[in-house]
Amino acid sequence: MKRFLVLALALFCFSLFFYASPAMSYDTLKIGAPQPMTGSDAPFGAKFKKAYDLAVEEINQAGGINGKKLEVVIEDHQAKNPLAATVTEKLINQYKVLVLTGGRASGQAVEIASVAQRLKTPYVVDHPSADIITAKGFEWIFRNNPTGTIYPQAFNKFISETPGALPKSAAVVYDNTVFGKSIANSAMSFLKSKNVKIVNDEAYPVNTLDFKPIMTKVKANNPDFLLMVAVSTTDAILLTRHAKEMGVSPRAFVGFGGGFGVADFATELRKLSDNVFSSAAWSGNPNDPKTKAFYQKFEKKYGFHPKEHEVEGYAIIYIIADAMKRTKFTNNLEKDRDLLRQSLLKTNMSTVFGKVKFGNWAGPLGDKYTNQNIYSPEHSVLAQWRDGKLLNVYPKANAEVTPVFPDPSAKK
Amino acid sequence: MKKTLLIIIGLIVLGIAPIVIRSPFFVHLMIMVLMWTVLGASWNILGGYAGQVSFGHATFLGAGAYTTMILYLKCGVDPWYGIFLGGLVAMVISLPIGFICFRLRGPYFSLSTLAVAEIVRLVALNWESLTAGPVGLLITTLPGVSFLGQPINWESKVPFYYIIAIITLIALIMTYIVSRTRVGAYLLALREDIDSAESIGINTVKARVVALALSAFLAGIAGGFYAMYLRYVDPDAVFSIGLSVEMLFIAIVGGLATVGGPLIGAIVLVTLGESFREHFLSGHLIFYGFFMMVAIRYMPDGVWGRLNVLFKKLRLKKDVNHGTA
Repeated sequence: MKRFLVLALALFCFSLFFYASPAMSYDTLKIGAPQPMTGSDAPFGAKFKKAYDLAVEEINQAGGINGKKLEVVIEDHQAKNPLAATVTEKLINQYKVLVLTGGRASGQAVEIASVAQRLKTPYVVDHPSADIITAKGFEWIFRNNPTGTIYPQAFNKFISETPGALPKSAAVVYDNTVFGKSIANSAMSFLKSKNVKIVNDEAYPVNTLDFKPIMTKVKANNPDFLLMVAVSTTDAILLTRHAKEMGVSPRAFVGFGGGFGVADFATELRKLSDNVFSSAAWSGNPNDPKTKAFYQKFEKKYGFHPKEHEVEGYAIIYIIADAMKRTKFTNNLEKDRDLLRQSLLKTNMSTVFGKVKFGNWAGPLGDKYTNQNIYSPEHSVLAQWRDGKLLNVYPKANAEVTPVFPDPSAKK
Repeated sequence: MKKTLLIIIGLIVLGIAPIVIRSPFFVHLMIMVLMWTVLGASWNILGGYAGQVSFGHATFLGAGAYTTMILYLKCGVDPWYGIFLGGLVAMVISLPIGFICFRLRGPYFSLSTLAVAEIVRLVALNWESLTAGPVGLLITTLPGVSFLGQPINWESKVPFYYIIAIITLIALIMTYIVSRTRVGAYLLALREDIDSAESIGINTVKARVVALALSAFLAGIAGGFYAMYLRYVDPDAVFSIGLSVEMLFIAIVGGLATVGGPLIGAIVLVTLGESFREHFLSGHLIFYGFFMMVAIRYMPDGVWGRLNVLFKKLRLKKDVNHGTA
């Protein structure tokens, strides 16, 4: 009996493997999306899936792409690089997708980009921000969202355009990730160009539990501004808490990265979160009626407010659909992928995320971008925590309130 | 006699597989299976034969991958020598680790490998001038090489397949040699009872250091191949504990201290993982885990061990039948 069970199980497993043969019809236009659907990154995969589903549903209800249905095929890469390469191969060779998107984290996205470039399939990046993805001359890779080094643009503008806001000195504390490093380097190189003295340059590993030693050092230098980068929410919370507890009192606390943009930041810190700036990820201009309408529609369907991931995912499907509509497909897969790439090069439209046009230009640290959205520098915003809410304050066109500056707690 | 025939058939299948199978995705899967076989074989030499459970084998894979990558990007050394040098560097790194960690026994050794892996990961993360830190290293083109007067097309998967097939053969032959020589006997002796082994004059530290060095060499070569085939390395990808644990799974599911075990383990786990993922978008790990539980509970000697037992039983039955006839 036991042996029979084991044998049956083994047979079942292998039959699955051979039975698998995904349909390869050309009636639907397929977009492949490697995303983390299991593991610690799974919540992000789920966010993107919701966003893609909503966009695809709308496009198909409105008649599809020149009469053909659109479909997104998601494959789980479990946030592992070798698996990201495997699922990309599978999407391109087995599912015969026309174009790729997704990726979620930079490490996997670089792998996907490398495979897509080799197999000559367009990859339109929706969220991964590592500069390297569009800085290696890959002509098959496009990116709508800003790169890591572009994130601090709004903050840079704020300190250079607001009278008296330019700091005399700054302490920079950042996590030791691609994202943390890119942002910190970008911000520091801008500050140095304005002759601002960097009094602390401190990197820490993600999920550090005690920032008091770092903050003691920071306090000794009495910086005019404190810049903190955190991808993890707990890091963002503890950085702010320990800085304030140790009595660091700069004119502005500025947070960069996802950790400073989530609701938990305010619920955990309560009063301590007040007036902390967050150079948050761009999730569309909240003053734009089109974006506002999307926020409401999304909230009605899924019951929660969309943030940058959902906006990026939703927008990317529209960007791809727009390029598909302009492409005359020949039913020869290889040729069609190239035709689609040509159409993407001519993209010039606006989505809930903002304007998009792909071009070759140089980034803030001199990286030579290929097919990076030329409007990316506009997709950066400075927000501020006010009574538990994160509100945009700069640039004025995207502002919801006027900023409180300098921080009332600062030493006079 | 039968065995040699089987091996020859296996070699022929291995040789013509990418020509018969035209789908690039299946060739990719075979490459991954062979790469995991080498990694499983590497872990098996230390964990299977010598009984030293390592949780930090990704260290050697990462060292090999980074060596190959850095030599190519910064010194222009062709990856084909680089892969080999990656193995050597991993081996050199393993020596001090071995001499220090093998003074510890049992779980203490396992824990120390975990610590070493973490230290190496942090070094790779912070030594930016060499490793580019968290950004990682990316290769966009491979150098032109010609083979028998024909330029090799690196955009196709077939050359990679043959490279990893040769590496796999080396790994399996190495395992076979280890199992047949004095070192292998030393390792088995110290695995069963380290004090008895020492009492009959075996230098157990030295024997284990040799096992670790061989194991690290294989993992380093596999790492070099990883770098060339996937073309991107970053510290979190190649030094992750997850990778170390996967190597361990492959060796255990396949069959500890067997020559063919890692190959079977890699075939079973890669194809299973792939088919589960295809059918259950986010629930596939439940089935994967369930399979692991069944395998460990009902096949303590691994799939290879189980197959061997079944095979022997069949033969026995046949002999009995012959006897009565």
